[in-house]
Amino acid sequence: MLKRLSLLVVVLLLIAGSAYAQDASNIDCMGSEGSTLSIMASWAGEEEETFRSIIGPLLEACNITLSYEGTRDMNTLLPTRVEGGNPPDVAIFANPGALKSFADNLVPLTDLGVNADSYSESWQTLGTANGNWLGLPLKTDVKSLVWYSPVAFEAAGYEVPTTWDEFVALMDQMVADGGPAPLAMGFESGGATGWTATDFVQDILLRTQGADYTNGLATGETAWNDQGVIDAWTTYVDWVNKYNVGGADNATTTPFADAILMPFQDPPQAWMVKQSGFAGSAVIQPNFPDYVYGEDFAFFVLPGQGEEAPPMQVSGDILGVFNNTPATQALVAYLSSAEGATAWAASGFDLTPSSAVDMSAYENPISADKAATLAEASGVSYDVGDLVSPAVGQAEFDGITAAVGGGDVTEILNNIQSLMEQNMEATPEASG
Amino acid sequence: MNRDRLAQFFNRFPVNLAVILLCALWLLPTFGLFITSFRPQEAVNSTGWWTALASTRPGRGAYQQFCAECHGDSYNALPNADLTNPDLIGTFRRSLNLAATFNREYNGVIHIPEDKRPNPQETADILDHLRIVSGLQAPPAQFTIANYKDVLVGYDARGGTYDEACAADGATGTRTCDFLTDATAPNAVFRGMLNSFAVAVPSTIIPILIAGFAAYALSWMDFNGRRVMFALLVGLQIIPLQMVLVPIYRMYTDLGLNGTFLGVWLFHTGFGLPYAIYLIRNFVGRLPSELFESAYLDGANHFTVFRRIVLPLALPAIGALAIFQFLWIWNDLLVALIFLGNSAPVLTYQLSQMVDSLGGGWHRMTAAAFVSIIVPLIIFFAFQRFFVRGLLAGSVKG
Repeated sequence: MLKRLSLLVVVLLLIAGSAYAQDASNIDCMGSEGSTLSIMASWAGEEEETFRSIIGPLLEACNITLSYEGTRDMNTLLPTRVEGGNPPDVAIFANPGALKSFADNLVPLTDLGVNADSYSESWQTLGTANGNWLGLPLKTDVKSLVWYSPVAFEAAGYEVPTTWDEFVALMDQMVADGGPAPLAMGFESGGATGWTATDFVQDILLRTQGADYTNGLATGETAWNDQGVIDAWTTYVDWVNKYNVGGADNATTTPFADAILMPFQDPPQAWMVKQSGFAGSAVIQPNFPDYVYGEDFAFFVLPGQGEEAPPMQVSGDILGVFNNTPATQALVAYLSSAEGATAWAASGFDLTPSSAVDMSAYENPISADKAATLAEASGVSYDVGDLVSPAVGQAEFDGITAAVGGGDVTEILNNIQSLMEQNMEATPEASG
Repeated sequence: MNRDRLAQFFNRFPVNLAVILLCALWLLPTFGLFITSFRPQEAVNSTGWWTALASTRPGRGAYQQFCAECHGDSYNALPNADLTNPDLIGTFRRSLNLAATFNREYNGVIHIPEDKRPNPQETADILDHLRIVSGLQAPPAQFTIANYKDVLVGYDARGGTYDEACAADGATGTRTCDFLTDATAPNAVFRGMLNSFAVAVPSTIIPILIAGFAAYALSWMDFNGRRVMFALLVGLQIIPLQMVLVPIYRMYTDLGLNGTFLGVWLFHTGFGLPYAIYLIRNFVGRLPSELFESAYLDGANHFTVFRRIVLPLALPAIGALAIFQFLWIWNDLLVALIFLGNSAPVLTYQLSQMVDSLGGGWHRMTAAAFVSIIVPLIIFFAFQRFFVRGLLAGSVKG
């Protein structure tokens, strides 16, 4: 009797266990059990660990072996692999421009069973080339943020500005008070020196000219040498001279990561730093482990002209698939599902562009606040430097660096415009 | 006698001075990096490496200058303001909060008169000092071997160290927290070192072996088209490595050589050969012909001559070449990245992975650099004599 009872218990437990397992996981393996999946991305170190933890449930549920290659040299490696006929199954691109250069080799997401409903039309358009939706938006970060130290602001009696005019007045006040400089604007970043500055310029443009005008720079609808752009660039150069730590000379030689730390050192070397969302969890917190978010460091959105929320500048990492296999299908299905989006949110690895996300999954308060500001924004504007062809993007980086060094803004923008026109002419041929 | 010495000294002085200055120019940054590689991240963030050797921190001096007069040497001369009390010091989160008290009146007296106030940096130093005195924070460690440990086990989080992470979270999927096990794990830097050896040793021996035979043949064997062949081989040197990456990768894909050691060995052999042949041929070609003639007269065949005469005499050239070839392959990232990738990550590949896309983990790069430098240094010093040894001296008389 006892034996039979225990057998019954075991059977019941087994049934309950398997039922539980099915409940816990809605992962569709698409028949990929036991196969391998190769992924190439630029994430190494801690970023790689985080990404592995996000796709971990899929790999476990479907028993997929992951061959992950995180490299800072994707621009060298990936073209060689693709040309050599041995591409990775999946590659994760830092911007849509890089994705589109492989438009002929990538598999359309619609063939892979993507949950298209999870992504707004603008996110889908971002990864679309030749009429095919190729790029799965994986990760996004908000860029229009100003990081500051509430503790230091309180000690000095400064208030967080809510309008553009208040922001400028606050910076003038800081200069007049004779303490640290208002902004840490250093933007040295090796070969990509200038990206922090062009992000800032785009934010100025979004606030002075609006989202449509700014987005037009990438499509050619807005001329780069238009007066509005010239004004924004001039404003930025003025600010570097007036508000940066050590003026314009320091801006081009101070690494952007060092600039991020300046407002949080003791004594502070600056009051604020305008930088993307990654600054909080990826730079400030690891460098100052004792600091508490919300007290020792926090952010506000660079204010707009009026009280209403200005458009938000965003960046994004995009996934492209080279080989249509059961494993890549399962990966795309998982990442575009609510479960994948929520796993991404819970990881604290910036934000997920997926609308299927459960907002309460943002456990990290920094991520939660960033997600909230993105939701409140009156629109999004993708980083123009990442949308245009790499040559124009680089010209923009070099141009702003030259402008800060004292170059003639109008002349620099004329050059970028003519380069842009050459590229616009060349593009149809290239794709046809 | 003395005057001669003095004159000699002054004659040599400019040369010696220049040598010393040049050495300092090269060594000083290396020395700085070496010190930095032993410093914790927070210390690197806040102070330069040259301050690490100074034993005292600036806060004590600033305290003596601005505060000791009233608060006393033992920090608690004023009963209402006991500076060893962590609750009191804890209210000052930043030096700005401390600076705000300078203006305040205590018992009808301004805390610090305006002309005697410390500047912001000094204020920060004082607060730093008081936080240590009151026990709020531990005196900062100036030196640590954590960077090296992190590098060897491949711990690459943005903040913290391997030991701290193991103490806090214990073993995870990617680490066992047993140092030796983790250091020899497939993705650890130590394993990368072994892979580097597996790539570099055969890639050095194979081309030099072939080049030795070829050099002998090209200089001492008479056959048609010898000069043309040599010119062609030398000319091959001008082909840049980057140009053939894609064609060879494509070929390797067909042959299944991608991600194998054999593929990398063959690639390095191909690219090492022209230069190796050129160098050894020039050396072997200049050996006195009498040596060879007498050997042939004594009935030696080509192989015997190569083995008994050429090889020992050409050892300096071969040794020097081996060092160069080895160092070049040891330091190579591009070829290993493309043909091996993550299937057998070499040291350079591992090191390039230590820093993430936003520069996180930068503080370990100095330690990583010294880890990767050790092997080239050993090789260089062990085989240094090949650079200077002139085996030829006295081999021919008359």
